[in-house]
Amino acid sequence: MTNFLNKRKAECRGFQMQLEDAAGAAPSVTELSELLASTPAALKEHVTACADCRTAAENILAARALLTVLPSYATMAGPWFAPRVMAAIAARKAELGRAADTWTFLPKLAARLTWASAIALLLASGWLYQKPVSTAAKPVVTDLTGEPLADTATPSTNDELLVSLSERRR
Amino acid sequence: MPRVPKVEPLGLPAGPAGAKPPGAKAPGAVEDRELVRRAQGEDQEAFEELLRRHQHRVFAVAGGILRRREDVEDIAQQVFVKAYFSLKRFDQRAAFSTWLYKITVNECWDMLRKKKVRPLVYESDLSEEQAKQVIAAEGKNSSGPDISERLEARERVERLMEGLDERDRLMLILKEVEGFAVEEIAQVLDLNANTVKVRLFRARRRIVNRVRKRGE
Repeated sequence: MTNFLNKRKAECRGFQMQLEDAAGAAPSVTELSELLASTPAALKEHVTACADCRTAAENILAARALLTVLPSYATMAGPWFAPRVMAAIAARKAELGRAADTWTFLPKLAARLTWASAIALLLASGWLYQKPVSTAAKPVVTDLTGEPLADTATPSTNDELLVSLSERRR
Repeated sequence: MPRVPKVEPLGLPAGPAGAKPPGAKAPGAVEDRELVRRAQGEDQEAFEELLRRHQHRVFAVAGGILRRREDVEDIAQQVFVKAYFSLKRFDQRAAFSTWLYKITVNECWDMLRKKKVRPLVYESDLSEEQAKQVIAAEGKNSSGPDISERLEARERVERLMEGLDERDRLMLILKEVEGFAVEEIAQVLDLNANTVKVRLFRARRRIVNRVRKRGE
């Protein structure tokens, strides 16, 4: 039973596809008899016998009649449109051309820019190499009175070391 | 960096299978492929020819998504400008139209995301003067229902379609209003043709049922 129903459904679908093709081939037809006039005999017989397919065919014509009141936008396009588009294209091209011109100086200056940056790099690395290394200030440790616990001035030579030791003895 | 879609080749013709679209190439005219090749070599005339050929379809797709005239014009222009500057990267594995549709759809969704609005505009939101201009711009003759009746009918249909999924709404508009073939809609939405057919059936059923429920 299910197989029979499925088979029938598939058959109906096939006929409905044929109906769509027939309606597409006759866009000005408004009556069912006119629509079926140029279709194969099998389709005609089926549509006459099958209520679903007859409804589908009637729906095609009903929707067609209903939608005739809507405006077609295809007719809006006219001879005015092509010049408008070509003008827009020309304007866009000019805009792109200007944007490209802004950057054309860059390749011309490329060699000079390379030399200048190489020299700048050389000078910077030379200066960094010769720059004296600055000693970082060590933190001063103080006692409760605020006096430094150790002499903050670290002697750098032997003479300075001796002087500081003699001062301490005194 | 512009977002340009990469599309898989579909092996489909550039044009629709059904009704001939406005701006379709005349028989014997240079193929899109050749024009693209020339445009990739900076041939502006070739690009202009491609533009003239496909502008109606781009307007149709953008209109189907955005439903606002000013936005449609701006997006259509943006699409072609983007296509021009990305053309060198287009490898022609897919049809030029497929590639262009993808750019259009992406641009439209981007715009809607930025604006964070639903793509629906009712002409009743426009002033009477604007609404008259809209109808006059469509170039339809003045016979039939008067402007206010037509605006009302449009608004009613737009409201009916509000309940549909955005993609289903776009499919219906492209199919029934803009005359796209199913294969073309499949290209626009990157779907299988059979999927489009099934979704079209469902969308129609929903919209017709809503009309019946409302007793219109």
